[in-house]
Amino acid sequence: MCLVGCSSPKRPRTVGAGPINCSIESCPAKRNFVIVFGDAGQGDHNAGRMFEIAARTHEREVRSNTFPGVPRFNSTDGLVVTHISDVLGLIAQLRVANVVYLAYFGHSGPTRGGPGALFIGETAAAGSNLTIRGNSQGAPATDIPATLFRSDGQVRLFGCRGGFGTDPIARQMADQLRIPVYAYTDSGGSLFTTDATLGHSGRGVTQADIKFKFPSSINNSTNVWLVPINGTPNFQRFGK
Amino acid sequence: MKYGALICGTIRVWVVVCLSWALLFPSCVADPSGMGTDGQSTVADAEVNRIVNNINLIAGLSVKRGEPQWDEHAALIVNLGAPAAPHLIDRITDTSPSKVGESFQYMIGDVALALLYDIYEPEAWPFPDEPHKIPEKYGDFRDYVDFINSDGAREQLQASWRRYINDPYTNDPRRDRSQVPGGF
Repeated sequence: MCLVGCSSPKRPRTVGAGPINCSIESCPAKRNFVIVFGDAGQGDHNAGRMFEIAARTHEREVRSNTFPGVPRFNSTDGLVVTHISDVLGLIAQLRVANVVYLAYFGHSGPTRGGPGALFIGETAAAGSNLTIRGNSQGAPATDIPATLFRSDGQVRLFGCRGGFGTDPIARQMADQLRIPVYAYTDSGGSLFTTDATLGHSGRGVTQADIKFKFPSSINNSTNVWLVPINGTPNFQRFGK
Repeated sequence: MKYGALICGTIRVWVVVCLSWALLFPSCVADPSGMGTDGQSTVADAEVNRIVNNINLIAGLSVKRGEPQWDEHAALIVNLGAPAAPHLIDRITDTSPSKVGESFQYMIGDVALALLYDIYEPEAWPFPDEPHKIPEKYGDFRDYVDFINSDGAREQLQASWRRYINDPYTNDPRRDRSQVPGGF
């Protein structure tokens, strides 16, 4: 419903499978930015607090509009950074609705003989992976209601091989949500870096980056980026 | 109806053929343990060694415990099961670079260790046979990197794994994994 200063009447939101098109439908002024980070992982794949620290870095860059390609953050917008361990946790965060940006920091990659996945949880619990694979651990991207997103929104996956392989998770999410999903197409795993140029895909990874030793004192205020460990970080757009 | 009967008939024939094959050649039927019905490896040791030697071709490892390896070379090695273990344990001390990079540069020995974990799934890490803990400074993969680059670390792990696979308890499929000390 349009009350004041509207050039054309807007239709109320109706139930549908796609994201909200705010050019023809009524949308709240407050848009929502959601940044989530998954479980740390186990053994040699234990990222400890690095996913959270990278997510906090991203939060600062989103708020200051300094990360290339992310929707512009306005003072009236909402932003949440939180930990999730399964797909239900992700959907719970998206329930704020009118989501213009979702960023995921965590484990991801291809599965054996099957589609790519977000390995949100580190255990074998039901729904701990986002993937169309179809076993009890995997919940498909179709479980995420596209109606929680705005049609001018986007998703950005910060994790290993989110756009790599024959049926990457970025493609599955783009097909379901009908908004652009950006993910690394590099074949290698992930690397954490304190270099902003590398973090913004401004150069390739060197041996010095791989051998760099983080001080044990890093915390939530330390700027850390997550990039692929090989080559120049390549964020590819999937979907429209 | 005619096509339905034809399809059912074809399926019946294939079921009979497959069952006959399994009865005649039981050792050829897929066996996740890598062991035949007589407890012997279904693949000759030279062939096992050849497959394990492709460890340097592995491009990446599955990042979640329990997830099947997506890289074909890694999957082939894990599918060998227990017969691959002695060869993998031999490689733990191999410090030549692998193609794998997951937060840090994996050496061949690190890949071998990861595959051993996939085969045996011990609760304790990185020592499978004791509640030994590596020094915890960071609380993440950097602790492993520091440890594995310290003097004698790979040899310690190698000895631990040799004890572990030779322990009858390890190879008892009925064992209760929750009784293994330590943990992630």
